[in-house]
Amino acid sequence: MNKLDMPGRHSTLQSEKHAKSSFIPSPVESTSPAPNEEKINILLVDDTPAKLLAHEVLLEELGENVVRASSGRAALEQLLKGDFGVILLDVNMPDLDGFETAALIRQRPKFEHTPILFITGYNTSDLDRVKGYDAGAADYIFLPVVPEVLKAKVRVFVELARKRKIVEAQAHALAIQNARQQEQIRTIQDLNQQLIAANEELEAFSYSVSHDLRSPLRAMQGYAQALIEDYTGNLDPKAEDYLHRIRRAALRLDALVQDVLAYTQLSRTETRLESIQLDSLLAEIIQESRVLKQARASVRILPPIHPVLAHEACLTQCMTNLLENSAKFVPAGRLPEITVRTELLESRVLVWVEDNGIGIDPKHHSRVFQMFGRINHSNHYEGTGMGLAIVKRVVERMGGAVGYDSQPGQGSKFWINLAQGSS
Amino acid sequence: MGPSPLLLLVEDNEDDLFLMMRALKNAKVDLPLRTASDGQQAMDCLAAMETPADDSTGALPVIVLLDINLPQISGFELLAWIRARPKSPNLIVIMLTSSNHPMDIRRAYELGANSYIVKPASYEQLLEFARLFKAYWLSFNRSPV
Repeated sequence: MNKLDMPGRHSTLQSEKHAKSSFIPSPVESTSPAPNEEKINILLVDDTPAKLLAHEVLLEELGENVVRASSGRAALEQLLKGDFGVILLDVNMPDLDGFETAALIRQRPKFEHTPILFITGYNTSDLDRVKGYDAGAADYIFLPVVPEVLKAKVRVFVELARKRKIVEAQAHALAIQNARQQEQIRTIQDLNQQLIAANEELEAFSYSVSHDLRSPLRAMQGYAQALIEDYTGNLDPKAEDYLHRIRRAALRLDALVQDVLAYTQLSRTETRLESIQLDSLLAEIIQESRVLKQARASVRILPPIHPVLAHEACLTQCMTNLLENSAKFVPAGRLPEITVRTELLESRVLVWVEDNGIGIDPKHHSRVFQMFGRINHSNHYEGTGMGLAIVKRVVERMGGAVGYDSQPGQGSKFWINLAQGSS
Repeated sequence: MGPSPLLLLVEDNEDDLFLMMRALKNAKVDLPLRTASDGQQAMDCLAAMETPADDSTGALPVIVLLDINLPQISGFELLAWIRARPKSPNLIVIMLTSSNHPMDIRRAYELGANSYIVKPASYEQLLEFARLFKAYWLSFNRSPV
């Protein structure tokens, strides 16, 4: 690229080189750069055309780009055009000599540290001046040039330049990658902000839903109740039945609104896990559950009930839903019998809730834990179809799993799997 | 026992007011009852009771059932107004609202509510609340005289 030679000159030089039998050609493998490596530019400065040519031929063997300049000024011009890994300067030149040229080169920040090889006769004063330059960035070669010495010295500097280029390229790539990562972090932060805003909006929405949807429901339910109470006996049985249906539907819708709210709120509550004594929690739930009482369910708790690692509110919700679910789905005329037991599985606890209910047909398997995944006719069984969906969500929030084992007509065994707590 | 307190229901929703009054009646809560459908009415009502012409025995005890979501003056503002007045030691404020928001609950207690009840979903529960209200606030609870 930076070569001053005409195209085709190269081959001439090659043949010339081979003509000179005194040169020992270096093995090609060691001198040619790898195909994907960029060639390093070498600037060769000499006012004597013969020396210039001879040194160029020698350096061509390194397989790099050799650029020639016939004076100090020409050299400075070349430096404007490109980057150089090493500069060979003839000391003895008219006008600007090698040292003067070197001083000018050093003034340019880009070439402040570029290695310079002075080519000099055996002359003490020259040597002293060479030593004035910083070690490592300058060296010297005596005339007449010994080809192997010249090549060896230049090769060292070329390799240095190549390494530096690689490091620079890597630094550049790293900088780009860094910038890209910064960009990604900014994007993530933006998205996070949007998410927080959306979450806040959802929260506000769900609370206003709670307020605005439930208020008319209370009225519907309450007035139906008032009619039933105040006009009993004055209504024919059909009218009374209709009123009961209105009342029940309003209650059902209210339960549904509450369940949907509970479900959406679950995703936002922070679930910090702590060790929970499941046995006392179960006792409290059984004590307080209206559904269990109304169903006259008997709940047996089989010791030992192992403590679990859970979030108390979430676990309460989950166990309540499982127990009430078991109490709800019993055939007409049968009283629910529920058994709760635990099982240790390495460091996990399997909590089983077993019932004598109607069981679940395997064909409904995929819908059991879905939202509104009711599989039974709503006329027979009260419910919102949210209970088990909430259980699944809650348990997964606590890093656990949920499942069941059931056959139609033979009851169901639901299990949840949680980390073991300390007693 | 001191004089039986006056009950002030502050509720803008006619249906809720009707059902609450019905539940109180069915639970045999037979207190003198006032209603206010907004904050201003409630303020007027309380202010009127607080200036007994010449009697130094002080104001009647009052129990306020207070909704949060009211037009113009919110239940919180009304509560803050009540608590800022010097002559209301005998004033029990029970929030009765459909909000179950933790922030609302905290704020109510910070402002000096004595109790916080989420409006029950069904009439049966409302009736149960009215019965428990009677037992707790009118029988077991003691207020400064």
